[in-house]
Amino acid sequence: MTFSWAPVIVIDIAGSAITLLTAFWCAVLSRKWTRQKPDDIFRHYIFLLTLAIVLFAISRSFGHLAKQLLLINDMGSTWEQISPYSGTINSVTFIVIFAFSLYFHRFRRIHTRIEKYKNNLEEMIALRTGELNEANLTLENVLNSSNPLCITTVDHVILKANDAYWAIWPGITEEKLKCYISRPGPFCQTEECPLFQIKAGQKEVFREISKKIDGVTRVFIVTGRPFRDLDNNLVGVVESFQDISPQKKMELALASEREQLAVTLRSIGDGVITTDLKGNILLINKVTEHLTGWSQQEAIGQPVEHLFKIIDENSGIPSKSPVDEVLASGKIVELASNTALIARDGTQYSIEDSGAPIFNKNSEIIGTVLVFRNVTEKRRTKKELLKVQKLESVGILAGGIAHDFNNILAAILGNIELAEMFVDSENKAYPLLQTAKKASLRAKDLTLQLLTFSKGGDPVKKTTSIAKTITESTNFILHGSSLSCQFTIPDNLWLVDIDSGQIGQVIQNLVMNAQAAMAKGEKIRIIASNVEQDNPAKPHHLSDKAYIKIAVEDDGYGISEAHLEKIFDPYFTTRAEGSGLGLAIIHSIIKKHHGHIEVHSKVDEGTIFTIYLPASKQHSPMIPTSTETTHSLETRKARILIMDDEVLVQDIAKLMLSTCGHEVLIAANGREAIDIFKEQQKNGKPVDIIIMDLTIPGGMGGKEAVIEILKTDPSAKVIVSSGYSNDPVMADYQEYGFKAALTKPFLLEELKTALRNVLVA
Amino acid sequence: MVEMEKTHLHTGMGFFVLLTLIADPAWAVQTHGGAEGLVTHQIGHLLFAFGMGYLLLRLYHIQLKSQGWFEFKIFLWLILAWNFLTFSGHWLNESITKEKFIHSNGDIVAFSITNLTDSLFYLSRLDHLILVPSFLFLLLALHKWRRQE
Repeated sequence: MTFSWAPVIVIDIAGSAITLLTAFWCAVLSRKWTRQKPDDIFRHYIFLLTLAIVLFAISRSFGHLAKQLLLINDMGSTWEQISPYSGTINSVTFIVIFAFSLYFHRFRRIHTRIEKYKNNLEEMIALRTGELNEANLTLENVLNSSNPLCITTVDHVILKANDAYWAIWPGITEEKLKCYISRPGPFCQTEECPLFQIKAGQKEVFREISKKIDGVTRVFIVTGRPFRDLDNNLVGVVESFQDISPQKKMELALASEREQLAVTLRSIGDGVITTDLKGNILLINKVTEHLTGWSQQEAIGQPVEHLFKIIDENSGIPSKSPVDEVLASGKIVELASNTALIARDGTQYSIEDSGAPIFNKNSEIIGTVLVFRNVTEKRRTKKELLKVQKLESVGILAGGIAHDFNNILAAILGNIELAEMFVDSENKAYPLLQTAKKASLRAKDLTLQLLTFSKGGDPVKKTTSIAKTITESTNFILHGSSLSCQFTIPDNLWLVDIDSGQIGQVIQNLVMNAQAAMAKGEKIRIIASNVEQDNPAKPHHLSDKAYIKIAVEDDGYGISEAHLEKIFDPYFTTRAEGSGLGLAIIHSIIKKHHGHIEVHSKVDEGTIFTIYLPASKQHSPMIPTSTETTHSLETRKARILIMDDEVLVQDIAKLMLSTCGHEVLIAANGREAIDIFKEQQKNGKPVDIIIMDLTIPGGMGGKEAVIEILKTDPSAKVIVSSGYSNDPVMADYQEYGFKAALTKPFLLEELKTALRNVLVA
Repeated sequence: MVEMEKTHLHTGMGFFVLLTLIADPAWAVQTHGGAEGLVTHQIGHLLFAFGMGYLLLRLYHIQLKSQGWFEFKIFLWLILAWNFLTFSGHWLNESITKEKFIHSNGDIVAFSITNLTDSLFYLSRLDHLILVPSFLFLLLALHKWRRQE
């Protein structure tokens, strides 16, 4: 069977051409595929294998095409010549392909290992990247949840900052923002800049800065620390910003509170001392400084006993410090009521005191606090009050008995005087009557003095210059004495509203005391002066007024300290002949004049009595209204009406007047006196003089009766008579319509004088 | 694995040596005769075929599932088949006499087939019918690998 050879040739030529093209295409695709993953060694292997196969295909296809072309062109001999070369190349490609194929597994294994390593590496990288991202995220979270923080390079560029930082100092990191632009402040571009300090080698820098946010100033503490790279080179500074505004606010509030407490403590009117558990002083306030004479700087750390020296005021024996007792008992301790503090300069202050433990929040004692008060004046005032109360008691008693006692005395004295008239001076009874009369007069004086204490004995004040009262009273006492007095009384001494009689009595008593205390030839000094209302030397318990001051000084034997407190007590005297009423009366009179008396005395050095009397608002003395009596006029016979409730007085008065030749009518009270006066007037026998008792218990007294009598007869002559010699009516009788005043008990001569004066007037 | 490779290599080398020794000297004076030598070329074919077979073995062993490897295996099978076909063609070419070729004006115009050997020889002359598809599968395999990316 014969088969055409043409298909062989056609397929050979076409197949070679197609193979050639396909091989080229394979080479191109293989190259592209390899380039898609250049680090894939297996692809490179496939690429090389493909190249070898392509090389085989090319060599074979070229060979076959050349053969067919040569044969077609009857160039078989040429083909015969090149055929071995083509075949050899073809064979070489077979060997190359073989060689490559043998390395398939090796390349595949290497590829697998590489892939495995690569995958492992990628996994590891992914893992590490994940960890890194997580760490980064954590770091970012931590960074953003912390205080404002920023990292600044050595060139002042903000490298990184957290959200808190940007919220306060807005800006963008990418803009290479400079720190001194972001948050300008006083340290910027100076050596105080934390970055400068860190660059200079500091390991940590602290600065305080402030920033106004929404109108509120916030304060930050900046902590700067070095920022280093992996090689430990300084590349910048890490600065954190802690907002301390609340702490600052609290600090200020605390300081303010502390200041307030300190000021309060310093301003407390009582002395305050705080000590530790050992009794050493921790703090004293201003009052304590003043009372003890120790400054706070000197006192701190000192044992409290050094500063707080206390004694029993009565005995002078040192008292125990209350600190020990407070620490032992853990309770509040009060000091004895008679405690006195001895200041650094020896001044003694009466104090009231209490000590209390200071507890901490765990109720443990950590010290003590002593609070004490200067009560020197208070105790003095209390003593004064006690004195006044004593005098008032005497006054009540005196006032009660004065009236009746004077009436009795009037009867006694009147009868003695009448008896004297009837007894010859040679008579043995005469000296007895004289003695009885003197005794009665002394009794009268005593009653008068007692009345000074009574409530009814208020002074009858008149605006006057006290200079005359002082000099006259003094000279009266010193008349005939070997002592003299040196007066220092300024011409411009202010006027005073005083009862001259009472103040004269005061001066007399003081001069008498001085006289008794001094030796012959010595001088008493009386110094008067004006005391302005704002004069700091004025005793502080005096009211805010101007005063005049009268000091009676002597250089006598003085008064002991123990006696000083008692000298104003009634019936207290150190002299055998003293009544004990002189200084008590002085005290009473001065008090009733709203004045003050004080005494300073040292044994064997002398005594100073100082009187303060309120100055008058008036500048000129009142013109005296009292009328001078004329003693030379004769008494004529008169019809005299006596009004007195006391029968003894009625009788003696009647007897005395009858003895003088007067016609006497008697009335027991004011109403009766008025009736008699009217009746006598109606009968054409008018009464010339009426002597009326001022006070009629249970009936109309002279004060009321004179008004009606004067209504009936404005020219009626009425004399007021009373045992209350210090009654205002007696002092100012004219104001009430009387023509004269007669103090019971009265002497016959006094009665005559009064009648004479009235009749003449 | 290395030991296994060595075993395969030794087996292949032994086979080529055997073929070389048993080849008829007449082959050498045919198409791949002359300076090249038929034996050399045939050994090349065998090595080529061995290499492709080795690749196939490895591919089946490692069982690559991704796209393209199936086409690559077909390529290997076809190129292996082509190798055997052309190897057979070269071998049969030595036994085909000139009378089998019918000439006209000095050119071969037909081939006389009288036995199986002639038939096989004639078919071996049409080897591109295997070679071209094999390269197309290679192209397809490369195309798929590239498209996977």
